[in-house]
Amino acid sequence: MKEFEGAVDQHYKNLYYFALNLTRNGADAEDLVQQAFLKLAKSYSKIRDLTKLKSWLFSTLYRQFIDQKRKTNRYPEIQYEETSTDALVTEPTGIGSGVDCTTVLTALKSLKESLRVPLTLFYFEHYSYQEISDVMELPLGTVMSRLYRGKAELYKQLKDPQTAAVDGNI
Amino acid sequence: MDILEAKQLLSAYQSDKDHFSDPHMLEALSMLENDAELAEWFEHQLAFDRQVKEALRDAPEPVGLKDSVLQGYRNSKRNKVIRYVRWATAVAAVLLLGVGGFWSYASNYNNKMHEYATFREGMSHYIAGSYFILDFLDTDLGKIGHWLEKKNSPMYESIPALLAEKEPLGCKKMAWRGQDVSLICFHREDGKIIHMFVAERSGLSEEAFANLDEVLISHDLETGGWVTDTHVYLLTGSEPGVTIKEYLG
Repeated sequence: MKEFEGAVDQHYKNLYYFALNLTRNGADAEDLVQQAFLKLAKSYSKIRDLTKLKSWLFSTLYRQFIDQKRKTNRYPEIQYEETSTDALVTEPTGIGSGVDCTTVLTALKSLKESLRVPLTLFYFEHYSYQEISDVMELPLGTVMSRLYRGKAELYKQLKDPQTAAVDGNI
Repeated sequence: MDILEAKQLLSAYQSDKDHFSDPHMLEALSMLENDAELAEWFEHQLAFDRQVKEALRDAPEPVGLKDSVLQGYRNSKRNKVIRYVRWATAVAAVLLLGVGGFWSYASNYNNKMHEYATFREGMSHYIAGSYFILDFLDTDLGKIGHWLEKKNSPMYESIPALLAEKEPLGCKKMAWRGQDVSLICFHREDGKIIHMFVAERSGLSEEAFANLDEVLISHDLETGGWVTDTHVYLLTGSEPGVTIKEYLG
């Protein structure tokens, strides 16, 4: 019980934000976190390497989300035109110092799922592209490309969220 | 590696991680020394990453989620116990019904042997369909006789020579129509068993042991016996096809 409580204590917050970025809905995110931890409770004795607990939790939650999405068709993809991937190069002034958590979360939410997921793992979990590839079960090249494009999109959203929203019909 | 590949790799650069074991990342990093434009892009990239990470560090705790996860865990453990108890109860009930059913069946079956008018039919009915356990197990005929005496169960006077050569298994004291009956079992070399029933003649009617010396099939078992002044004997095979004729003497 104590080990389980420790695992919850350590990972529930980041798992929640990962789930929130997947579902873009607080209640659904909480459900996903609950399910992931219940699965952990059932499989705890089978996890041989507890140092990989975090990656097990994130992978499990992500797979649950993919399963639910397939079954319920509840999380439609955002349709918008992608930003030029050179955006970061041409904007040396950055996004200013006023950017806060809510703004970043809102900007992340507005991105396509395929870009949102790797970015969330990159920024929240400080995951390497190899670790992101493990969680998402994607080739390394695809992860790098999505991080590159995702950052350009996120930058655009943060730089000028209103224009981005109009451009992207969000 | 071209500029686009280098940018994609550098997009995955984590400033707080060690990338020395990644040759591709090292190659991309080395390109920064000779490409000022790429180096500038990378600086902006790092600054952007820093700002986003700093902002996300302030993400608030999701209210109540931790408690509800732990409560869900406790409920699942409690449900597991309840499921286990239900399962164990169901298994116990099935076992109880099985044992009770078997006991009831065996009891009814054995009671039916008292309805037969002849010793032959009553005893062969008992052997043909009843699962029974011997009261005393021993391969020494002397000890078997001693046990029967001690229990006041009908004692045989003598055993036909060929049957006496077989290894005894043990014996049982039972009752038929209010009379005590002894059952002694012998093992044949082929694994089959010959049962010998002994009852006191005085307790049985003449009809009960009429024609007992004839070898007849009763309840699919070969049966045959003999009568002395004081006792009535019956041999039966343990299953159809087991002959007893040769042991009658």
